[in-house]
Amino acid sequence: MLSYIASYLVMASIYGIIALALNFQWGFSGLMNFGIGASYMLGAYSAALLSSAPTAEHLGGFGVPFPFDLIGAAVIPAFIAFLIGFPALRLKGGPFAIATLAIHEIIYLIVHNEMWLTNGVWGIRDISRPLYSQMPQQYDFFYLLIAGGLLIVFYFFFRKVVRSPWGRVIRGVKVDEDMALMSGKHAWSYKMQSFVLGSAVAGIAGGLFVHYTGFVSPTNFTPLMATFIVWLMVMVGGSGSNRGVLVGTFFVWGVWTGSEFLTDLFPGSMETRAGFMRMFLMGIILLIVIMTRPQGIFGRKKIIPKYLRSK
Amino acid sequence: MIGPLVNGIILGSIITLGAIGVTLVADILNFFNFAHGAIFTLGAYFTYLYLNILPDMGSMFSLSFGGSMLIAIILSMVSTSLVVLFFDKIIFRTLRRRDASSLFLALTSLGLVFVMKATISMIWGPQVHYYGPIQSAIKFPLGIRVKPDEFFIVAASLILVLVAYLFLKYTRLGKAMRATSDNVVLAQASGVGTERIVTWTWIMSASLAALGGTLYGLEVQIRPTMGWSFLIPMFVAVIVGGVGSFGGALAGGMIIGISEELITSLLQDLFLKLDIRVVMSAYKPAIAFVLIIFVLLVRPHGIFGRKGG
Amino acid sequence: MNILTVEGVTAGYGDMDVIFDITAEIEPDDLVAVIGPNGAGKSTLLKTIVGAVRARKGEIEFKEQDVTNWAIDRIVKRGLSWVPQDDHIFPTLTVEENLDVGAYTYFGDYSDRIERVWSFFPQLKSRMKQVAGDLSGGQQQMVAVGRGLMTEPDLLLLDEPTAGLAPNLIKMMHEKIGEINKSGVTVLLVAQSLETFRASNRGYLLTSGEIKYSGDTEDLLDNPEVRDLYFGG
Repeated sequence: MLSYIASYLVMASIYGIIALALNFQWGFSGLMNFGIGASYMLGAYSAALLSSAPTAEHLGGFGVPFPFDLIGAAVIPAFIAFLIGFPALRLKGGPFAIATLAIHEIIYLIVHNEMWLTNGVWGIRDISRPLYSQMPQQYDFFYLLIAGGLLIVFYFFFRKVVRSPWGRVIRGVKVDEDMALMSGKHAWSYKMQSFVLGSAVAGIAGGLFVHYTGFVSPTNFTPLMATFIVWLMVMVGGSGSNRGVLVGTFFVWGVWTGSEFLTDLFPGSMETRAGFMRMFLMGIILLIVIMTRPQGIFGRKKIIPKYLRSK
Repeated sequence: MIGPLVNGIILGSIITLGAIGVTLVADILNFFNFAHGAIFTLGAYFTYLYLNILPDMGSMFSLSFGGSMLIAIILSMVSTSLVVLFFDKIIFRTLRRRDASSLFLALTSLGLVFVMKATISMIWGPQVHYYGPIQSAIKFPLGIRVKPDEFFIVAASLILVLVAYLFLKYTRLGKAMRATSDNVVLAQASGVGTERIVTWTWIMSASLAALGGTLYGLEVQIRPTMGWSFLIPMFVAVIVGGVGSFGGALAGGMIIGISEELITSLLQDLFLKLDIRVVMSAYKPAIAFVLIIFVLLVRPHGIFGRKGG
Repeated sequence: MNILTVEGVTAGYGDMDVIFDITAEIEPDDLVAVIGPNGAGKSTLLKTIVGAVRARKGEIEFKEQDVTNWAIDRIVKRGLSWVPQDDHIFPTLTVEENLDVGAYTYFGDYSDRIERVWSFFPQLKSRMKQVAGDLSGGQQQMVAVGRGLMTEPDLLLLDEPTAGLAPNLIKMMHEKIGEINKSGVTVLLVAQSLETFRASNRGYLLTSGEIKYSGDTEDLLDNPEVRDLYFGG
């Protein structure tokens, strides 16, 4: 029982890191990134490919030990985000969201189809799990220290970034691009920096994920499981507030794992139906939150200084 | 070359139906409706539902279906519109009153996708369905192979696009819609009630999507994820053509459809020659996306777009 | 008896009020001007009457019906028409279509109304299939006024109807406005130029959102303080 809880906490922590990254991109920089799941996926697969032993099934196998492969898990998504940012960041709001969604789809397709690269649907097995052999029974608790610890590290990291002079500029860019431009800053370059940084952090979460489960396959990173659920966590908790986002994460992940328990009670024949019920539940939660409390649990209503309001 | 071109026209006409709906909503309701793919899918399933309820009326010409299909399509368009209007009433209208931003509305529509997709999957199951027997293609000169149903697909799309165009251009309501898209306040000052325009925008958008979904179901198959895979091409067609531009949606849809087919076919041949094993058809959405990058670099408002859109 | 009564109206945008405690009366068939320096709130007053701006305080009565904060289309259906200063046409619609939309509330045959617009503005008739956004500023102004006439309103609000027009067209516009007024349409306009003011019967002088003076045109023109304030703005 206890290890179920620990497992829930580990996954919630991992998603918490992604949520913090997304919140940084959206809540502070105003980037509606519907492709955050792609960074998560790229980080996961980078870590998997870097750390695994050489094999004919897929690319990689450089045998890089944990935690050094997390560097790759951060750098590769960051690099892809950097490349994508050039065209994508020229777009505003809606089209930007579409572009990032398209990127997610494309990367998902590549991972899914290119067997030589990723072993496709079969996934990558036997990913090293640090110190697993020493304590297979208490592994969840041990890993909780790593994941939870990193979550706390990133929480304070983003806190520090937001309060820094750099962070203040970024916040200014979100509130009013023209104002920020007037003060001589390049809005675009700051958006790129947010985009890249957020992607790197989400990538690290991906690396954490594979070393926890020891296995990775594309199904973990569908738009539902990797992007939408993170958006749900951010919206429920309150975009702009990191504390709120974490509350949202633990809540949503709790509902998700909780619903899994409930659907386990269903007879086997209803199993697939049950999976859809959970999907339905996630959608309904988002709609309810948006309709009743759009700023989330902790969010603040948008504060626009009087002099910036439109004429 | 001709084969993929023909396939591209077929695909393009389906994308166009969806793109027009997306561009109307983006223009008048001011947000990109991520649920449009789900509406597309819903239309296909409604047609399937009605087709199975209605008595069999045999088949017409050499098509795989008969009069009952046409009735089913019309019923589907009506049903899909009603469902969409329901969602507008309970969700989007409230958000409109709250002056929600377009990003917020887009995120809401994403939530709606999961609700709709899950509901469809729960009712009909995740397996694929078909409207009728699989057709074989007729051989034409120049190596063209076209199924009889595909003539219907292109014809139906063209007719509905034409009807939509005539509606917008010549009817009182159509002019009111265009006026609202130009200048909401001035339209109201001419006595045009905005909520009525919103209702008709949804009706047009949903009906065209329902037809598009049905036609795709006819061409390939019916499955719960069918609309989602069309979402990117539809959105890209709208952006390429310019948001709010009817002609742009039409041009964009055809361009995306044709280039998806042509480029994947050419690349597939190339890879075959180079002995690289890649299944290109899976990457069709990627083609659309790459296209949008090129277009936006040159003309940020799309081919037919206007500034301040 | 008044066609329009404005009583203690305060209105503005967001938290910022622009007009304060405005009281005014317009009698049927009158031709009234609102004058004042830039930024005085003249456009805002017109927008508040038609419903484009929310009145925070006060009441507006049109044809003896309380229409305070009615939706724009509802007031328009009652017989009020408004031609704004900016964004006053439908740019992607043709000239003819602009007029068609102007007649949206009328389900019968309105070809006589269109003919009337052509008679006022003959240049438009030859351009009726042209896209309104492609026309010159002066022609667009004519389309804007034409659209406003299509409902055959009882009260017509015109915000700076001569803005952007060449001098000979300004004179023409004044004549047309006079004709429209004589045909039974009450007109309330925002006047920037002295000529437009002179062409009207009564006026309200607005400065910093408040009515400083009101009265017959001649009396106002004779008042030295009015001339000071007006030309000072």
